Parts: sequence; structure tokens; C-alpha cells
Amino acid sequence: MNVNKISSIEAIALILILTINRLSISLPQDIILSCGSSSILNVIYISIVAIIFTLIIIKLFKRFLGQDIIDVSNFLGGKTLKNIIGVFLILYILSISSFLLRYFAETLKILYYFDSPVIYILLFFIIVCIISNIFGGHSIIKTNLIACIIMFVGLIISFLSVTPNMTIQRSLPILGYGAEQTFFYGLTNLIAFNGLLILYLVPPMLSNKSDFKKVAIISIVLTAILIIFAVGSILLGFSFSTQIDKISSLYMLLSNNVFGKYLQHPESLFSFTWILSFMSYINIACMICIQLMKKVTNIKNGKPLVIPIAIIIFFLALIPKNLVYAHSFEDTLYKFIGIPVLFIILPLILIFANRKYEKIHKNDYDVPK
Amino acid sequence: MKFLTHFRKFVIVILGIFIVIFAFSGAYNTQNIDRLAYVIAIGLDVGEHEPLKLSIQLSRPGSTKSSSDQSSDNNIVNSVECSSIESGLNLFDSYVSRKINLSHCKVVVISEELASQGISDYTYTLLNSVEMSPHANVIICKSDSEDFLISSKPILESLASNYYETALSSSEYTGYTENVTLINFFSDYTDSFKEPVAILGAVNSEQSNSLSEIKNDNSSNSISDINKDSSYIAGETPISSKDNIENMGLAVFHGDKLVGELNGLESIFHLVVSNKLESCNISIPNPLGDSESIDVNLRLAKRTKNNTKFVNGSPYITSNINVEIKILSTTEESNRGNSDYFTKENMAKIEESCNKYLSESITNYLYKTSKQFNSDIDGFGKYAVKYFLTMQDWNNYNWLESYKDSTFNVNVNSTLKSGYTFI
Amino acid sequence: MKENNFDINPKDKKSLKEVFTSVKQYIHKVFYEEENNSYNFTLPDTTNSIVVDKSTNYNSDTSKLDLNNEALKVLDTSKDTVFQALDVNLEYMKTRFNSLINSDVKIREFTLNARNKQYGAFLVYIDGMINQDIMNNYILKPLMLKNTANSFEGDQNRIISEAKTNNITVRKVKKFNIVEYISNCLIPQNSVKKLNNFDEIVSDINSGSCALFVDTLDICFSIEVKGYERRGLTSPNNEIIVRGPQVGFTENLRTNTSLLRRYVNNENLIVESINVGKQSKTACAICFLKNIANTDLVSEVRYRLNNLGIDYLISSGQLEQLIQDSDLCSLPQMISTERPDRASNLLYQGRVCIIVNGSPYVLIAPAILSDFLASPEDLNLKHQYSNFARILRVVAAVVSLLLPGIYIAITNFHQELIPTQLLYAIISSREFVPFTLLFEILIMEFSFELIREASLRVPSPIGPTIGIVGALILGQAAVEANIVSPILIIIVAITAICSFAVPDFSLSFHFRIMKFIYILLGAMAGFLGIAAGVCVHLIVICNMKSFGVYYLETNPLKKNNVGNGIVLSPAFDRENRSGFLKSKRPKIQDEISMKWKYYKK
Repeated sequence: MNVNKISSIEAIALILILTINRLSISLPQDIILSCGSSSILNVIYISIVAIIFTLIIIKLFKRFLGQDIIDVSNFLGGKTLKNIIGVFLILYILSISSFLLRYFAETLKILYYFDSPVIYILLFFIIVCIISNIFGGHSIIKTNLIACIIMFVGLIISFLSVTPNMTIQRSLPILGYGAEQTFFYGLTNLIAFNGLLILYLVPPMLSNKSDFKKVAIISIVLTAILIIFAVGSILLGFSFSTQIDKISSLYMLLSNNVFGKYLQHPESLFSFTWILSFMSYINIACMICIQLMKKVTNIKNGKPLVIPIAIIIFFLALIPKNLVYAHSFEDTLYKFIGIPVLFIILPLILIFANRKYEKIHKNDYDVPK
Repeated sequence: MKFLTHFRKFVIVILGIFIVIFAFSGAYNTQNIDRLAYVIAIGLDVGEHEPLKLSIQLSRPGSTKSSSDQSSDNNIVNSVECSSIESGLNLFDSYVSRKINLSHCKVVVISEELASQGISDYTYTLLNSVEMSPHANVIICKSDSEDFLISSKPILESLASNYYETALSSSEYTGYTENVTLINFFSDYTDSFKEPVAILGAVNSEQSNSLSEIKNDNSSNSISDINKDSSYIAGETPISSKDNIENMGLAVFHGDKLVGELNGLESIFHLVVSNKLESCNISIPNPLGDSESIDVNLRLAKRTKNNTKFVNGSPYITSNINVEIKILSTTEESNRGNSDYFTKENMAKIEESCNKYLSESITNYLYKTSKQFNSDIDGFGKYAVKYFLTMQDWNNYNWLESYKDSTFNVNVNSTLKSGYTFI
Repeated sequence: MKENNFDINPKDKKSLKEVFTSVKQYIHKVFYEEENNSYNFTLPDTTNSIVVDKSTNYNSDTSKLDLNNEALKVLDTSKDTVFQALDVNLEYMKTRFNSLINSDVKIREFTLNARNKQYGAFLVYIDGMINQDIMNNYILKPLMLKNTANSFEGDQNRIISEAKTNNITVRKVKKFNIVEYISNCLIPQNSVKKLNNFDEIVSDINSGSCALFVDTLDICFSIEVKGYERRGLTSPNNEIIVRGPQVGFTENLRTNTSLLRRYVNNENLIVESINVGKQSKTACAICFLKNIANTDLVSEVRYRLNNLGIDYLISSGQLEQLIQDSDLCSLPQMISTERPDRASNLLYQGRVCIIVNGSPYVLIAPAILSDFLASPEDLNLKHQYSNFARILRVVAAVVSLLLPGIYIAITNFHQELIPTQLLYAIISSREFVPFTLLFEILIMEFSFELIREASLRVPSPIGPTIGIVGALILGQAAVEANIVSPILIIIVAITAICSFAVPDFSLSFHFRIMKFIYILLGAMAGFLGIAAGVCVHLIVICNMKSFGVYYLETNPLKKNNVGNGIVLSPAFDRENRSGFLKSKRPKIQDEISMKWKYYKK
């Protein structure tokens, strides 16, 4: 269960998988609905913001080489802060992943399994999650890399395959619903980069600790590219994407691709890769929870925690009554907890920790600045 | 850690139980291939008592084994009057032994009558169904949609679905219609700078043939006389095989309501202006005088460049069309030297004549869409969007309603590229 | 009463406390102790040294190495010549051949009689590569026994001819020369070389000569006594290739080691013998190249073989199961081959080879997934051909694993994926079939496995008949009788053909078993079930290790992943040894291996 020697590309895949899965369900649609025809502009804008933000985080982490946010908060506020942050992050990851899981399961139910109860679909994910986590983090991360590569290539192929059906002018009232909506309220779309959460936790896992900068920048840029592609192709593909909320806009988009001439429903094949990567995502969510718990409680053996955590995810996923509830829970969590935590609280902890560090090492001359 | 050492057995036992329970109980899914009936085409029409008459076309499986001589037998068309598509399908479920499944539906046939009442709800319902392929074609038929489905007797194929697939792709080389799919239709309908079109289909019966001549007289436009063969609309073509379906021309919508029809030639112009033409054959007036017209093969040489400006608040649309033409046949006379097509001067003359003919007829066609139909089926709106900054401004302007005020300027530049003539 | 109460209360308290502490202990045991029941060995980076070879210009980073390391000292052997002192020569040869652990290198010390004088001498040869009869009768006998030629006195000069003229006796005398003497009189062999350079001597020994060292002489006699066991060597039965040697291992351990020696032809090949089995004491041999294989790998193999508490061992198949890392997955974890050429190729990569006496299959460790998709022929063919074949095999493997499962998933859940014509063909072919799809496909797959198993078991003349009966008649009749649909027969047949295209027997066995699980998963939940299966399968495979090497490395950029044999580069470009083996020599070839092309006059 030791995850401490992951290579940089595996770390990038770890960060990417968090966004990739949301691309296949609701993320691009949410962005487009909020910004209308200016979505592409908005996405480019938030990508730049996210990249700048990442650079700041890299700089803040510079003094804490190989430490994650838990270690840093331990340094800043002692055990209390460490426990608060740890428990908070565990709860956040558990709830967000289980609501996403429910959303995805409901989507699958609508697409293919209208006769099956949603518990039945959820169980597949949970059982895979349990088995994988018992096998250990190492193989989860390796499998995630495969899933991520397949998914990435699949997404790029699918975006390219719909290019003939695009109309560039659909992005054209360039400001969409107005500048304020695009640039100020549109900032909430930053949560598309929720992979940043892993960025706070990944440093001690890296085999080469100095790779952190590379990992952070590459993964955020790749995420940005994917989001721009996804939003772009959905916005330019259909006229109704700005008006009608779809459960899986990408699925809808894919049904209109150039392979349609040769295969009846090529989107089913793509959904296979989505399922694979989503399973990988749930595995990772569970794994990270266990890692955090191990860190907070100092236990050495995390395996007995696997089944309880998986069961918690399962029951949390059963809480929303239906797809709409799951989506609104997820949305609320992202907007009111995810954004403040990821973009305000955790950076603040880092900033104060840096202050404290400077204070302690005031008289040392060899302090890295 | 006994628990963990025995965990493997535990997992295996649990998995085993799951497999036994779910794989063999059959409770998880009832929808396997044996229990479904696949609809090939559905027809929508106005019912006598209910708002909707839903027809479905099924193909009897097993007929592929027996040869095609019994092809009429495996074409089953049934219809039901109902209030909505879903309830209609449910009624069918109770009647057909298997469950109706739309995942292999190739065509949606909508009657003219229903289409003029508005069909956005139906297309939305169909598109919303997961089963329905968005690639299904939309056909507006001039007669009853059930008749249309009954008459869809494939000439060369044994399976009706095969027939629909190949028949509708013929527009790639005729240009007489456009391959409109359900998702295109719906996307165009919701679009704020474009109006939808659909394939125009009809059953070709004896009556409609006799009507065609009268109709031709009505269209007193002298230009279209040259292209008499392509100026039919569906159901009027003088083809010897009777009671068969044909697709020719386009049905033009304003919003979700049918407002008019385009004949084959106008469909070609639509494709030319909206950049979708692959290849087609038309006739142009012969400037050399050895015959009335020359048959040419027409392709787009470059992408058509459209532009929209606002002059005094009303749209001014320019369209620069570049086509290449290839002469399909020459007259015997011309070959004997009186008027060789392939001399420099004559080629220029032919190009000139083609430019004139095309620009006149395309301008006519565009004014027809704007003045008569008020329907921007060529999507000129997308060239107007750039003058607006926000969605609100654009929505306030309401392009689709102001299209009728537009003025057109069509420039055609044609290039003659030898021909397909063998001798 | 009071007393009683008084008595019980503290007891209760105590028991509560006990319960509390025991719970605490239990929790501590569960959470705060590392698991100790899992055996975890990871191949470390090579500890000894990276060998620097002066004869080639490998650019391995020698600067980082500790040059005092012992392993580096014995390297340049090209100038070593035979010493005059016999003891020194003996020591030299012993080190050179590692005779302490090398079980098939024989050094026979004896006393040589020549002219009534006795010289110390020894013979070096490799068991299994020489002819024992020649060795005994024509080398050892004349050298050791007293014969007529030996009746002269020690340094006495030999009179060749004597002529008396004018009372003066003219004697032609040849001065005694022990070298000439031995070579001319004592070794009745057709091919005897006098060699001085150790490199030449060693290479002669490797190719089946025997070296005779005599005290006080600074040369060595290399006597050719080649005697391979040619009789009894047959072509391999189960690994059939088109281009390449057609020789297979046999049941005899010594023959097998000599086969390996002939192919490897290097004195660094160490054949270490170990007896396994308390009762049977089966002779096993660990073979590796001393200067290439990772030392930790070798010791791990040795450790596992030495610590087997079993009574007997008959075949390498039994040994494979006893020394594999984990039994969780039915995937093979060691290459098992009957081809000496393949074994030597792998030895030169830095792997370890385990030979069991009595078994013609040789185990090679460690192995990764792509090894089982490789055919021994791949290296003999142009890289384009072998890469094409490899892609075919990967596709075949995936198809044989997933096709029935995907078929049932699509027909049960995702009918929209099937082209309409095919859909109607399937429906019409299933029209009179009374079973559900799942049952139908299980019947067919099961009966196919049955046919396969049956045709393996019957005596070989009847074998093909079973195939014909099973495949043609049964299939045809089943379709005619409407028990199964013809499309399903096609699916089963394609799956079967693909499973035959997987080169490794064990791997295709694994796929055949997993196929049934995928069928069930596909029937349970379509693509969701199959994706779950694939995910768990991947997790299990990624978690597996074979002798400290991860079975599947997914990271394409990792240094360890170089040369993993998924895609073969052109022959001149195979510079690196497989990274995951962490061998002592990281390079196989020079930077420019085709020197003829670039070094013109």
C-alpha cells in the first residue's frame, strides 16, 4: 500500500484523470450553459488563470520539497491543523467522488441499463474499487496510466472526428452573455481544474521530488487543452448546446461523428473507455483517502480501511434521489467548497507556512529564497 | 491477519454468489436481441381522432435466408393513432410480440400536413430517446406517411434498411436533395442563424405524373425550362415504375413549420450556396447555338465565400461562388467543326454563359427563400453574427425574422475543365 | 452479599479493562503493524559493478564506478599467457571457469609419466562436450601409464642413429624436449595445438577441446576430443519455427548444459548445480552469465531453489509452480522453453535459466508479459516481419480473451453497435435456437474446449479424426438441428484460432479460462461488466512480479522499460539490454554495430 515511487508521467495521469472523467459527463455542458457562445473565450481565460495559479503553488511549495499539504499544515499549525485539513480533505474527496459516481451510474443507466437498479451498476464500481485497493496503490497508479492514455487518445480522436460538423461562427457573439458573466462569474468554472487537488498531495509520492514543477505544469496544460477541445467541439458542434442541458454532452456529440457512416453507434465504443477510466478514478479516490487517513492517524497498514471506505462511497452515492440531485450536490460541493478550499484556503496555508519558515530561518544565510 | 489471508477466498465466494444471482436470474435485463423488434422507419402523420398517427415499418427477420422474391412479405407497416410517440410505441408493444426498439431506425417520415403544424416536439422526443440514432434521415412526404412506408419497395435491395441507407446517399452525386439527418434538422431548428430543411419525398403515383405537366406550365420562369429534368419535385418525376417512393427536392421550414418546397434544381443551388455540393449534373444554355443546352458536370472549385453586411439596417448578402464545370456531351454538329467547344473563345463563351445562368438562377432562388419563404436555410446568419458582441444583442436583432429584408448579390466564377467526352 | 458484590465489581472492572486493552491491542495489530505475510522482492539495481569492456567502446558511465572493485580487475584477459608453474595455471583456470560453482567444468589432476620422470599435470574440459571414450583411452591412458616409450631415463638423450666409421662412432643425438615428446609420443590424437594464450585456450575448451597443462611448461596442449551427444537430439515438438535451429533440449541434464554451452560459447556461463527434493535429490542446474546477470537475481533464484521443502521433484513444470512469486493469477511467470537457441538468447540478456534433470523444458526467469507474446523466431527474422507478427499476436490475444464476451455484451445490451444487416442476420440465424445467448455461447465454448482436450489425450493417429468429428460434423449438425446459430460458430472458431496464435501454451491457457469470466461479465452488464473485468485484470497483472521484476510496466517513458521487447527495433539498433533486468552490462552492441559500413579505409 505504499505509494511513494511514482514517476512523473504517472503523476500527470493521476491529475488528468480527475478532469477527464468529468469531461465525459457534465463539465463541458455546465461551462457552455453558463457562458453561452463565449465559452471558448472563458475556457481559455480560466486556463490562463489556472496556469498562473499553478506557478504560484509551485513557488510556494519550493521550500517544502517532498512535502504535501498535510505536512505543511502540520508545520504551520501543529497536529490540530493537520487533522482538520486531513479530515476535511478526506470528507471532500469521499463526497465528491461518490456524487460523481452516482451521476455517472445514472448516466449509464439511462444510456444502456434502463432495466437495472442503480445499486447494481454502482456495485460494479465498488467491487472493482475494493479489489484494486486491496492489491495496492502501485498497481492502481499503473492501471490509471493505461486508462488515462486510452481515454486521452480516445477523446482527441473523438474531437477530431467531429470537426467536419463544426461551425466556427457558433462561438461568435464573442462575449456571450456579457463580459461580466464571462470573466467574473465565469471564474467559477475554474473548478474544471479540480485536478489541482492532487497537486497538493502529490509531492511526497514522486520518486524524483524535483519533478514536481514539471508534473504540475504539464498536467495543467494538458487539462487545459482537453477542456478547450471538449468545450470547443461541443459548442461548435451543435446549435442547441447553449440551450439544452444534456446528461452526457460528449455522448451526444460523438453520435454525430464521421464514423457514423461506418459504424452505427460508435459512441458506445467510446463509452467503454469512459467506464474504464471512471473505475480508475474511483480506485484513485479511495486510494487517496486511505493515504490521507494513514497520514492523519499515523497507521501503518491501510488495507483494513479499504472496505469501510468503499462502503462509505457506496452509501454516499445512494443518497441523491436521482440524477438531478446528484448533479446539484456535486455542483454545490464544487462551487461552495471546492473553489474556496482549492483556490483560497490551501494556498493561504502555504503562504503562512512560508512566512513561518522565513521567520524560523531568519538568521540562516543558506535559506532558499 | 487471518482476515486478509482469507480475503481472497472471501472475494471469490462473494463474486461467485453475484455471478450466480445476477447472471442466471435474468432479472437484470430483459432486452436481449431475441426479444426486440427493430424498427426500420417510423412515420408521423396527423391522425383522424388523435393528434398523431404513428406508423412503423418492421422487417421480418429470417427473410434474409429466403431469397428476395418475397421481399414484399417482409415489409410490415402498421400504424396507430395516439397522442404522443412514446404512447404509440407502447401500443405497438402490446400488439407486436417483441419490444419495439428504435436503435436501427433509418428514416423518420413526416407528412406534409403534420409538418406544416410544427414538428419540433416530435423531433425533440425522438432525439431524446437514447435508442434513436441521430443519423436517421428526416423525410417530409407529400402524401400519407403510412402510404409512403408501404410503398418503400426496394428495387435492388432485399432489406428495406439497406435501401434507405443507399437511396438517400444518392444526393451526393445528383444534388437533388440533401442528406438531412435528425440531428442536423434539430440543430438547424434551434440555431439562431439558420433554418432547417428536410428531404422531400413522395409516392410516385399515376395521378401525380399527370399533375406535373400542369405544374411545369405554372412555373413560367424561362430559365428553368433548360433544366426541365431537374426541376421536378418529389412525386412528379415521370418514371415508369409506379407506386414507388422517391426523394427529390427539399422541404423548407421556418422555425419548425413547413413553409415551402424546393425542386431538384433549387436544391442544387442550396447545396452550392451552403458549400455542401459534391457533384451534380445540370444543363446550361448553349451560347454556341448548335443545341439548346449543354449538359455539364458541376463541382465547387473553391469553397463558396458568403458575406453579410448591414446596409441601412437590412442585410446585404454577397455570395462568391467558384465552380468548375466539365462538359458531359457535345453534339455531333460541334464535332464536325462548326463550333468546336474546346477552343479558347468558345470555352470562354461557355463559361460566360454558365456564369450568367447560374448567377441569375441562384439570385432567383435566394430571393425565393427570403421573400417567399422567409427562411434562411443557407445559414447566412452566421456571417452576420460577427457584428454583435453579446448574445442579448443578437437575440434582440432576431436575424431569422429580418432575413426577408435582405438583398443579394451573387457572383459566379466558373472554370471549364475539358469534359467527360470520349469521342 | 456485600462481600460478594465487593468481589464481583473489581472483577468486572478488570474484565472491562481487559476487553478494552484487547480491543486496543487488536486495533494496534490491525492498523499499526506492517503486513508481514507478503513476500516482497524487488530486483535492485546491480550492486557489483557495471562491467567495463576494454575491447569495445561502450560508453557506459565508468566514471561513477568504484574502480577498486574486484570485478573490474579480471577483465582484460587478452594478454594473459600460460605460466610455468602448474599451481598458478591451475588457480587461473579455476577462477576463469569458476570451477567451484560451475558443475560441468572438470579439472582432472594427475601425474604424467615421461621417460620415467614424473610431471604434475592437469586436464581441463567440459563435461558433456567431450567424448568420454577418447578421453579415457587415448589421452589419460597414454599419459598416465608406463609404456615402452617411457623406458628411457629422464634427461637422457635419445640416440637416433649410430654409424661407425673409422672407429669413430658418430651418434646422431636428439636432445630431449618434453614438449615435443608429449606432442609426438604421448598424445595419439589427430588435432593437437600448442597454445600459449589463455583466451585461445578457454575458447577451445568452450568448443569442446580439452586442455592439458604440464608442470614447468609454459604452453598448453589443446586436444580436440569433441563428442557432443548428437544422437537423441530431436527437433523441439511444441515450439516450432520456420527459420532457426531445429534442436531441442532433451531429458538429460548434462546434454542440456552442453547444448547451452555450445550456443553460448563463453566461459562466463556458469552452470551451478543444486539438488532439489529431500528424497529424490533431483539434479537441477542454474545457468547464468557471470558478467551479465544481476547478482541479486541469481542469488534470489538460488535462494528459492535451496529452500524448497519437498520430497521429490520430477519436472520443471512442478518446479515452476514452486518458485513462482504469487499464485493469485494463472498467468505464467517464467518462460518455459525447449529451444537452446532461445535460452541462450535470453541468457545473454541477463536472465537466469533453470534446468531440471529429466525435463526437456527449461525455465527462464524473470519473465514479463511481452515475453509470452514473443516467438523464438522473432530475432531470426527481419524486424518488419517480426513486428508484424507481434502485432498480429497481440490482436489475437485480445480477441481470444474478449471476443465471446464482447459478442454477448453487444447482443444483450448494445445492439445499436451492430450494423443493421448483421443484426438481421444474427436474428434470423437465432430464430429457431431454443437457448438464450449466454447458454448457447457457454455450450459452444465448453464443447470446443472439450474437443481440444479430447484431441490432446487420444493417441496421435486418431487425433485429427477427433478434430474433424468435433469441428465439422458436430458444428454442422448443431447448426442444422438449430441448437446453435451459425454466427456463434464463427465467433467460437475465431476465438479458437486466435487462442492458437498466442505463442505461449500457458498464456493461451490463461486466456481460455479468463474468456469464460468475460462471457459471464458481458452477460451480466455488457460493457460495464467487461470494463470491470479489464480493470481488475489490469490491476492484477500490474501487481504481479516475476523474480522482482514487474510483470507489466505501463509507463512508456520509464528507463526500466527500454528494450522490453514489445516492439523490436532493427537489429543494428538493439543497443540496450532490457532495462528491467538491471544487468551488469547495460549495452549489447556498440553505438555503431555495423562498423563495416562506417569505417572505410
